[in-house]
Amino acid sequence: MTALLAIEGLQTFFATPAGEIRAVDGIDLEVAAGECLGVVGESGSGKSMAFLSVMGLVRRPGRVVAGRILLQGEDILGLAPAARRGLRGRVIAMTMQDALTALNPALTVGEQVAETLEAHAADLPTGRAARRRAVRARVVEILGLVGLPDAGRRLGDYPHQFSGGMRQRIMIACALVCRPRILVADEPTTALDVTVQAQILDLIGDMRRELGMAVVLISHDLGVVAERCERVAVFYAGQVVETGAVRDILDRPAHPYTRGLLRSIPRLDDPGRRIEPIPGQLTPADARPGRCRFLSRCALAAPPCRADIALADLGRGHRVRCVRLRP
Amino acid sequence: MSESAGPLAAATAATTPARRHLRELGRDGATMAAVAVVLLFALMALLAPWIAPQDPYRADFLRRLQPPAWIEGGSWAFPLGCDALGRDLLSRIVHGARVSMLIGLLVVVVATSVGVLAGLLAGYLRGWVDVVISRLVDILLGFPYLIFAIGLMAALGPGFLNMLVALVYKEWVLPCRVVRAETLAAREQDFVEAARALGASRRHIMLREILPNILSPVIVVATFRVAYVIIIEASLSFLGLGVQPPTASWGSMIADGRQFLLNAWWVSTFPGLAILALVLAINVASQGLRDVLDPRFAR
Amino acid sequence: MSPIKLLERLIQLGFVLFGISLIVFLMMEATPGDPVEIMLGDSLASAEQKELLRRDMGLDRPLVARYLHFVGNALGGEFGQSFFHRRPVADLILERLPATIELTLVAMVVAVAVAIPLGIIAAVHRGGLLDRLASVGAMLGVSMPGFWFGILLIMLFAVRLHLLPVAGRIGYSHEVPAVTGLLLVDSLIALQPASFLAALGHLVLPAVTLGLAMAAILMRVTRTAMLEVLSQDYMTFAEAKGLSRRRILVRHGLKNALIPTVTVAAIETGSLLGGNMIVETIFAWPGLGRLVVEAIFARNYPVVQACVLFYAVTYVLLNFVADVLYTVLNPKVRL
Repeated sequence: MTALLAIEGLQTFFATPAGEIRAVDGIDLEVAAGECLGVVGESGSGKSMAFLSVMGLVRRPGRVVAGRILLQGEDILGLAPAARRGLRGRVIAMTMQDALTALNPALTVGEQVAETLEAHAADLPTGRAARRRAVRARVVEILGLVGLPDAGRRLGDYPHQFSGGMRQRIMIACALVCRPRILVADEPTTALDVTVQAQILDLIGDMRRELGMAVVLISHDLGVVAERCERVAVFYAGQVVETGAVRDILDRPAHPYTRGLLRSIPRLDDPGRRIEPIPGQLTPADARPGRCRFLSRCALAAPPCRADIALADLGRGHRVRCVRLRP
Repeated sequence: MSESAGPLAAATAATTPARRHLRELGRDGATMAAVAVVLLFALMALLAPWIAPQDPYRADFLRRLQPPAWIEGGSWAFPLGCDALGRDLLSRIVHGARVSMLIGLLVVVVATSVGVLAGLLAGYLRGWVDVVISRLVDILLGFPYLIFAIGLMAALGPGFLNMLVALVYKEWVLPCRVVRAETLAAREQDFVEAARALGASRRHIMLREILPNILSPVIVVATFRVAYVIIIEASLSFLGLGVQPPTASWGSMIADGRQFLLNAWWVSTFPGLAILALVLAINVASQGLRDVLDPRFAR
Repeated sequence: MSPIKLLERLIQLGFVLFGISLIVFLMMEATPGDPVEIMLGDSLASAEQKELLRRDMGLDRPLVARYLHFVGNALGGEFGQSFFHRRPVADLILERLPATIELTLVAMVVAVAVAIPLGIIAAVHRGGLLDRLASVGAMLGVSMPGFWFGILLIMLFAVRLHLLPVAGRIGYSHEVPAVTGLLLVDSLIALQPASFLAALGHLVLPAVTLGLAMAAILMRVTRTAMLEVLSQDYMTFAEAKGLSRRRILVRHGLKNALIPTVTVAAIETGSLLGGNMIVETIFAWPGLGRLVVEAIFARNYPVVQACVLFYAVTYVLLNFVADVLYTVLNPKVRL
């Protein structure tokens, strides 16, 4: 079976006056149709940038310098800009962290949902009035589907007239109105109140089943990902350091960083356990080739870590980038 | 990405802020060139009587509208040619720098002092003082600049001193607004609270605690305003409301040349070039200064 | 704008207008010379006649009474008699006003038409050749003394190249029936294309001179606003939806970037008023600005007073319009 989305050896670099920053440095990932892949990492780990690269939304001075991105078997990096644009929002859609800033304050929500449709719809009627009616019907339908109450009457309202949770739903509607095959949800809950977070994650899950699409859930919260996804990829300093089925990662974490992440999550089933944060922090300097990226923060650092580390296969798709730990 | 700036920040942190500002300015070629031009004009104004090749007031009808030296009929003794009274243009431009620089600097220095004081009082004391000052600012902002100056000049009559007064009347408003806003923000900050708690006098707090901390934006505004005031002075003199003849002022020199556009283009052109060069240099230098002192606006 | 906010703004507006009228009144009170003497000039009027005229003009009454009288008259559009024309000042202003309005409007249109596209292009291609050229141009534009620029234009296009007329609104050979007073409009109404072209030709140099500084400022504001907008998340999200670049820039970018730009444009249009005295003087444009300058030299104070008041009030009202426009355009402020 070919994957719906396959990323091979992707590298995205930023040219800065201080030198080249390897935001994404050799990512290999696959997303199967209909599955939910969780992408975990702290800020600066390259998880968002990897999928902005997939979307073709990397801004200067950033640039995709190497790799292949196969969407439905076709390498989209070689496509003309117009063809690439035709895929965005139609085959692969993305939502941003904060709907407050992602929605345009000067346009009504109706216009903002409709424009995705208008940019792609080949199946809309040709007459102007008929077309308008059809667009409106589908906008109201998708807004209803994402749970916006009384959607038909609120098309003319502006984003600031909605609550944070409702704005998030509207943004999701913008992304899903063309029924894409795959949704990249970039930190969909970080900007929200805790009470609303679960609702939005439920909504994404519901929509995934409803539309039969795959979801890439980007989050810095391993707990959220563990709960909602089938597979996980852990990012660190521009690389995937560990990937596999959620169960395997939770039960047999093989990378010191993943272990650190698990230890830093508070757990309801074991309240007496101490929460241990990972010492130090991720800096751009860690994204240097020729050594393990986690070296500067790793308690197990040893001479063999001063080399490029390859992903090692532990079976059943569980792979890890570490030479020190082998379960 | 602040980490990547680490070594750079460490290297510069060792020097004083003033030193660092100077070094940053020095790195910007355009700013340095502009500063050089401004200094050149300042020197020209200062040394005018000694460096001007001719007496700027000596009329000589035989040299009436004599062209610049490189044109047929010109002479290197009068490099930029002569005006309708046969006076040397270069010498008049050199002397004209005195009027422009003096008015520009005096107006801005006086107006900034007044404005800073008014802004501090309004922003720190609040209450009726703030109401009175702010309303006055609103009203003065209601006049277009040149209209206000012209109206006042019409009332006061032309002349150097009257122009100074007329421009200061309106010019203090801008620094006042800036200082008021900055003072309002500063008075809530810890260092002011601390001074108050220690029993410092209002005067001490305003002049010693707040003023030094809000000086950067004031200086930035002031440098830009010098350029603007110079243009306003030239405009007033052009209309005949400013400095009176025979004193050489760039604005009135341009006005003199208006009748001779057909056969003596140089009379109007060179004084205008002088204004453009000086104002441009001040603006570019101010922009460089702003980027260093007030990085909020830097792009 | 909420009704309370609007009311506050209106009260402030009223206060500023009051202050302006007071300052204008005091300005003219401070003028040297006896108005009666100036008005009568060299005529051999007896002391008695002069006293009569003085009382006629209300000059014998106390200051406060004269101020109230002045404001009362001004509100009724009554500004007294011009010393020399022997006509009501209001008539003079109304007669000169269309020429000034026409010049100001065209200058504004020219400035907006040049500055906004240029600012957007500069922002989109930030750091590129065009951006740098535009920055240099804007710097030159704000540093250029307007009157000198006008003279350069005259020398080049009128005196050397004979492409455009030097002065005036329209040639003497054209007779356009007055409807609006704006020659461009009137000549179209009268179906006189030759007159329209003549009027347009006369407008080019003054309008460019007047609009230069505004274009420079507006270009910078547009560029800054557009840069700000380009960095917003909603621009990335619009791209993620698969919209065309053009649509993203126009619909998502421009609409937001225009909010500050339009506000500044309204304010700057007010500032054009300040510049038109200079430009009208250079180009012998028969408008209000030239009237003021002439009146100053003729010591025709009622005219100066009325014109300064008129300019200031228009300026304040335009600023008010800018404020209102800002809130109307910005759905976040509009509640």
